Amino acid sequence: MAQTMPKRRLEIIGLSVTGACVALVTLVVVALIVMVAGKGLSAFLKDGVSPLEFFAGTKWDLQNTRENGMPYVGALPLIVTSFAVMALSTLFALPIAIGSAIYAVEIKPEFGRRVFQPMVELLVGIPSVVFGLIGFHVVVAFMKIAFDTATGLGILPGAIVLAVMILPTITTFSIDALRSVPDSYRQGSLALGCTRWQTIWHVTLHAAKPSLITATILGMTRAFGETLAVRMVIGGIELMPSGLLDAASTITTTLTTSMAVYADGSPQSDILWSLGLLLMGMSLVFILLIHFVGRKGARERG
Amino acid sequence: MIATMEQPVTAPDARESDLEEPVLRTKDVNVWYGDHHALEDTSLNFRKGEITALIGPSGCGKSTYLRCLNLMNREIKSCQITGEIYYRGHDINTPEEDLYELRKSIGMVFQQPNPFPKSIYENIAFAPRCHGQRDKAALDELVEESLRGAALWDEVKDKLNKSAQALSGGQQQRLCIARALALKPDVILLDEPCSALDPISTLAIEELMQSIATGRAIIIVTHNMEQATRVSNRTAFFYMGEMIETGETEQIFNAPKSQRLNDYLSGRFS
Amino acid sequence: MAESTDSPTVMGGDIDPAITSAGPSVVDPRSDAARRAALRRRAVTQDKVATGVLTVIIGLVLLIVVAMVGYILVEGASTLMQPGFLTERSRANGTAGGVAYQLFDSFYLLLLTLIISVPISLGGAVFMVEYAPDGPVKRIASTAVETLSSLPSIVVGMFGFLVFSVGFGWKYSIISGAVALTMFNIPILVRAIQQALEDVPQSQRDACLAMGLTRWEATVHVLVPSAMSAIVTGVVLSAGRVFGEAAALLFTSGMSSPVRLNFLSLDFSSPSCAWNIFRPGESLAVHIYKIYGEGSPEAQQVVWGAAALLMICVLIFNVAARLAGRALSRKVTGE
Repeated sequence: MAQTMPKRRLEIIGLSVTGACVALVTLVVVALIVMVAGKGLSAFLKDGVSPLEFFAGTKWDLQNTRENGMPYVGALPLIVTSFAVMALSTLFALPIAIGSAIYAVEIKPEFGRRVFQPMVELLVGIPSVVFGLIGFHVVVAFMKIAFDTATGLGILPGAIVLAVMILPTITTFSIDALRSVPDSYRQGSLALGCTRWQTIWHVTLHAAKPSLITATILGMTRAFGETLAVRMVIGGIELMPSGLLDAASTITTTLTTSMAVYADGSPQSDILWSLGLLLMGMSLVFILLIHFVGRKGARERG
Repeated sequence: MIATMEQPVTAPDARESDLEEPVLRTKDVNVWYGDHHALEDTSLNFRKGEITALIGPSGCGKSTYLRCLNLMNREIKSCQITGEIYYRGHDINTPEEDLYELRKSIGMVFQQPNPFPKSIYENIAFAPRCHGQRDKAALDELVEESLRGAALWDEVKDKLNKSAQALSGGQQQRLCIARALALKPDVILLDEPCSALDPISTLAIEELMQSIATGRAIIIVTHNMEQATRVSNRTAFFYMGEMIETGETEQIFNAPKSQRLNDYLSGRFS
Repeated sequence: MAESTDSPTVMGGDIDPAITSAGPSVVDPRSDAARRAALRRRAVTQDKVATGVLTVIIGLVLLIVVAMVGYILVEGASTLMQPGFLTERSRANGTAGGVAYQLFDSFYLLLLTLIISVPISLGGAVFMVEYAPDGPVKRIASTAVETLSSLPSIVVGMFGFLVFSVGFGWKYSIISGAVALTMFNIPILVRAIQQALEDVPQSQRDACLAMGLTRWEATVHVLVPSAMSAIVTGVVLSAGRVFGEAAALLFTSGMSSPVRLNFLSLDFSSPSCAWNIFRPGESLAVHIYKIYGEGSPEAQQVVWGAAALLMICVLIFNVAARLAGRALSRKVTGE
């Protein structure tokens, strides 16, 4: 078979087969972006929802419609909640993730590679429903007792569960970032008489800064888009939260509960797609941020 | 090979007509990497039975030139080759050239031994099979012949199914030579084949070069000037992307004509 | 300073006097030396405190991992041990009985996903590494893959719902879910395979090309086999992720299995045929999400049993990935 096939033809076949795979993936992504954007914008273009109401309105209610048949589509509570859980969880996870990455790379590299990294990778593999389940039974129960709230569900438990979920993401990328700092930097600093901590603080962390920021943004991306684990502990109340212990609902959790309820093409469904568009837009923003940080880091290194 | 050595050829081009037609010949070859002019107007002839050494300081263009001869430079996107490269009388530096047939006849051995992560047998049989040889008995024979040709048969004949990567560095390099021999090339290009090897393995490769040169043109890039004097009949000296001087190895090392070569040989730069 | 002989700071101790004597000291050299010694002591203390804090942090992380895994396994152990949990179908809308169908659906979804996503990812990665290592095509493709990987899985699920379930009329079906999971899995796989191929030394490619082989032959016979152990590790690890994914499935494969599945039926269009890819299906992860809020003790038992089962499967994938990778790389290098 192959012996009769001229090499040049074989090469063209290889190129086209693999090229077709790339084209397929690219096409699907483009189709996804176009369709989500089209569906998401139709609420504004077709149903006449005012973007101002969507982004600044505080009343979200798809079931009870106004006189004109339109639901209440103020998504600000959802947006605020999404950003709140993302920011809080990053705040919780960041010091722990970077700290343990430092330990695993700089202090006990052997232990880091053999014991710590496999453990953390295990954490990456745990399905989000399992995180949600444990959050529901442990964190929420604890909240109920500790803060004496009715259900224990709310933003704070959501942020805690998310923090544990994004911890491995930030940690593994930070470990890679620290490992790629050349040893000569460390030796240079140690040879100047700096302590190990001074070396880590002033030299290693500084050199790895762009990659560490990237690791953090990747964690935030995951936190922003996470769905079921948050859904299981946040309460699902679509109201503007007034405190961290309030039950609330993020963009993703609202989508989970409402998406299958409304018929395709209804104003309710359209506005849910607008939420989907918002999620997609945010993840594109995160990608741009990562590229920006990467380019800036490359420029600083020269 | 012996015959050419006994004839003291002093002026390289004067006796062109007396000799056999060169199997490989370049005329005014230029190479650009993007805007960088890496090689300027290089013209050389290579005949069967001859070993030609390309010497010169690092970055002088000798490896670049070597990689033009089987058009390996074409694999680098920004690289552009101009000029004429005649192999068996026709210009190969054209877009229509069948690179696959060409590289089958012009073998190449690299600086680092690079056996495939396969068995010793497969390392050699793999390429001929891809080129259409499917007959098991013929392949067996080819493997033995190539390994004998590379003076490796006696060392590995009992472990042909073992991984090639378990061999020593020198053995790996000889395996790479055997792998090239299996395609029955009439030109073999060696890009500093000994720079990663110990002295004993180096010696083995040098001896091997003499024996595989029969009926083939061998072109070797080397950093090591003793090696060039030991193995080659002819030498070409490159400097800053230019081929400065070429001639009989003896003449090049004992009576260099150009000042730069003289400086280089006396160690004024390296 | 003496107690830190085993740490690199001792080097500083040796250097200090030299700096003091050589440095341009405008003040009394002796008080300058004292100041330096004090600074050094502070630095050493700082070093110790920092090390202590980091040790506590890493201990905390390890504790979280061990506690989580342990908690699930302990809570679910009794259910898992129950005869029939793995082999019986669920009753009362999933709140009682076993999880046999969910387990089957999970593996079936995973299998279909891998069948679709592995070849596409392999082809895509080969194109990007071997055929178009730099240039606009690769930039566009990498951007596409990166975009796909950063999308929340719920968005992928919504897209799958819109296109496959509604657009193609596949409704809630196994195949719809598998295609959605494929979209979720492709970026993970493409990256893993791309990395694996990039790690194969350039000299292997050169050797193939210099023997007059095509890139295709080089890829099929040398590069992919060389990268195989890393590729297999990547695929099995991604399988673990796919196995536990639920958000992308809610609107695509649905939240329920048929009441009765016939595993022996070969009538692939029958809604009760287990192998029918157009029937709805419910993975273990989705099942957990569906019934986690049910208050009955029986439902809670099912939930924890399913969670422990899911956890064990993921653990097996994790270990299998490592073992398979190691075994393959041993085979390749012939050690």
